[in-house]
Amino acid sequence: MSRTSIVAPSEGLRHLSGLPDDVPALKTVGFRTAQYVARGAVADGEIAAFTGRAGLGKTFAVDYAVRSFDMPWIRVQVGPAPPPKEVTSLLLKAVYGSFQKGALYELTDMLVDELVAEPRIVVVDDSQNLDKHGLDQLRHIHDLGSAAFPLFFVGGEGCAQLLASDPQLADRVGGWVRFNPIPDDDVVPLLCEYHPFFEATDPDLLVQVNDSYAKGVLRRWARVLKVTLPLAANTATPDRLTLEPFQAALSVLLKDPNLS
Amino acid sequence: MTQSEPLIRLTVADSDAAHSRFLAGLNRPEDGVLSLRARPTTRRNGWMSKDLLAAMGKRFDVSGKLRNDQEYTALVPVWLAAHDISDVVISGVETLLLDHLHHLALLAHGSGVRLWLVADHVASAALHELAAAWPMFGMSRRDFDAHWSALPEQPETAEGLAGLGQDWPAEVPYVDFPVFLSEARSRLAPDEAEAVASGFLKAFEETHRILEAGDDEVLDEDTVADMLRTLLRDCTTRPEMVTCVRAFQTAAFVDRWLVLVDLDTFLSSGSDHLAALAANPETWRSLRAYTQPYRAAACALVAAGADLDSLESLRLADLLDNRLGTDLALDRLPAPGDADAACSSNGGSADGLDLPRGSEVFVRALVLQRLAGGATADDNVFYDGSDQVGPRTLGRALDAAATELGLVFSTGPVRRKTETPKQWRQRHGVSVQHIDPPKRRSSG
Repeated sequence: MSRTSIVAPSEGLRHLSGLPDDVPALKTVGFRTAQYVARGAVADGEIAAFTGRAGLGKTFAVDYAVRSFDMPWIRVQVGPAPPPKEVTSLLLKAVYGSFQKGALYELTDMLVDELVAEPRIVVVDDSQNLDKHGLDQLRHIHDLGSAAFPLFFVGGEGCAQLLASDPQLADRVGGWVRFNPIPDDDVVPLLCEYHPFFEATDPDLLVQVNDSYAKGVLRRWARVLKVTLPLAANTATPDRLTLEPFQAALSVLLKDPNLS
Repeated sequence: MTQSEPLIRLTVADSDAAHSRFLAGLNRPEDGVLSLRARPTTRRNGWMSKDLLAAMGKRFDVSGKLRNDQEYTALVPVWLAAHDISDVVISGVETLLLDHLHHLALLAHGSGVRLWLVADHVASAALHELAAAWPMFGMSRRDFDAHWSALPEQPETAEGLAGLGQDWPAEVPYVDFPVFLSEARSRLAPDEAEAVASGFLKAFEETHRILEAGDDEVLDEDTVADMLRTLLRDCTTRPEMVTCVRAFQTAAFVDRWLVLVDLDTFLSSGSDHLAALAANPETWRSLRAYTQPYRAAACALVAAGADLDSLESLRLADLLDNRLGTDLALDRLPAPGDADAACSSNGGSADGLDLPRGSEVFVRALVLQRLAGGATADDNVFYDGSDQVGPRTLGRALDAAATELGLVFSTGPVRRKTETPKQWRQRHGVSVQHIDPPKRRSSG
């Protein structure tokens, strides 16, 4: 069985902005594991953690998962070290559409009552930004709800360590999904299924692009596709990636200081 | 468990989600156990007080918000005693500050409840300091779980009205009393007919016994009607009420009283609704929502038949027995129609009010609150803080229960005075007439 395969894209999924409409969701190992863990967490109202480096498809996989259940969901993205009241207010805003006034005590009860009365999947993105107080508050909210709703932590660098460092929380996490870069052996077959543009490309060039830039990170491959497609349209081989448009694209993409 | 054992015990439990749910499931005020989770961001003792009250069913989105944390804190021991709480389990205590832990320890010793502190994974420095200051002992999670797993299964609590009068048929024959029993036997299914016949005979015998023993000098239309009224208090469904009415009429007729009942008027009076409301345990569970004891206590006493004027004049001495605040001499409550009651307008029965089962806790809480506030036996019962609660405020409390909890304790506008026996007869379509013995004609 192939380690990767294609699933039909769902409407409204959070693909990289500017990609062609027909780009499918890639069913990587991380993606499939995320669907499995999410299914269990939703069934039992558990906490689940989805961690890994940026660009590996965590948010996308969770986004895909929550749309596949017959349960409403809310998603919040937290900033740096939000205090407990900010975490609670963000969730209430996601529920009611506006910020609610009140003391933390009242806001907490209001949120729990609402989530128990009408359970929703609660997704906290960028969870690596939470500090101990924020984590304690989220755990407390979930505990008060007595497993009436599932809680998903989605976070990048340091998120797994952060969640594991809080033993009270770590023991309540029903499933951990760690996203990793696509293994080298899987890159070419995966990209061939990703888009016809890559399927028509010389595999050696794909390996070269992966080694020099993409490093198995899905978001980078999406950027390559997004930038090189219009560049290739002006060359003699508009249906495939060649070295010339890739190098031109690289001059743009490598302006990112995080890139090696 | 002996009294000499420390009231406080500490368990460090590596709680996972399942254990957390287990702890939450221990909250059973009916069994004298509260279980709550400490808020990780607790800053004031008032938060803990409100959580304890919430664990007993109090809600903060209904009428009767208190002014500050101190007022909430003051009511915690009152409600703990009123609900007869013996154990309080608090999990997540590793997040609490030392001040909060001392507050809980004081509360436990002041109220005599066992305090079970459950720390998650770690015992904080504050817990160590608490252990140094208060008598307490550590308990392993295994022992803790073993102790609480032995708690009997919680019975289903949602039966509500569905469980009441379940032996009774949905309808009983709409015929007058001379043929009621025979019609019921011929028209209803055997088991339903049996339930109706059993209820009929029970009401008949009770009525006949009282009327036969009654002094003809004392019995009049009012007292006979009041007997019917008393008999109907135990009925929770419409078929049960109709059966009791027909049995009462039959027994009265045997004892030379003609009691006529217009069934349409009787059934539209709403009395069946009130009886079912008072008999439904869910009613009293819902009324736990009110933090101020006087609100639910007023509902309980009105459900028992008191009017607002007599509640206003009710004194603690009317409620207290020798053991202050623990045993309430409820039979000494003035009944509607009690000639001695200060504001009651009608004479008649001197029997006390019969509080609906499950509602006693609210009256007990009110009495305890008043006594804790320094009230004496001669003081009025209905006070809220430092203000006496009058009929208007009591009426608003009943209205609030109707609008906020859907519990309507009146068949019309809330009355200051209980209706007189004559008014009751008119509203229920009841007429009572003594059948004089036929005069013997002289043969000559």
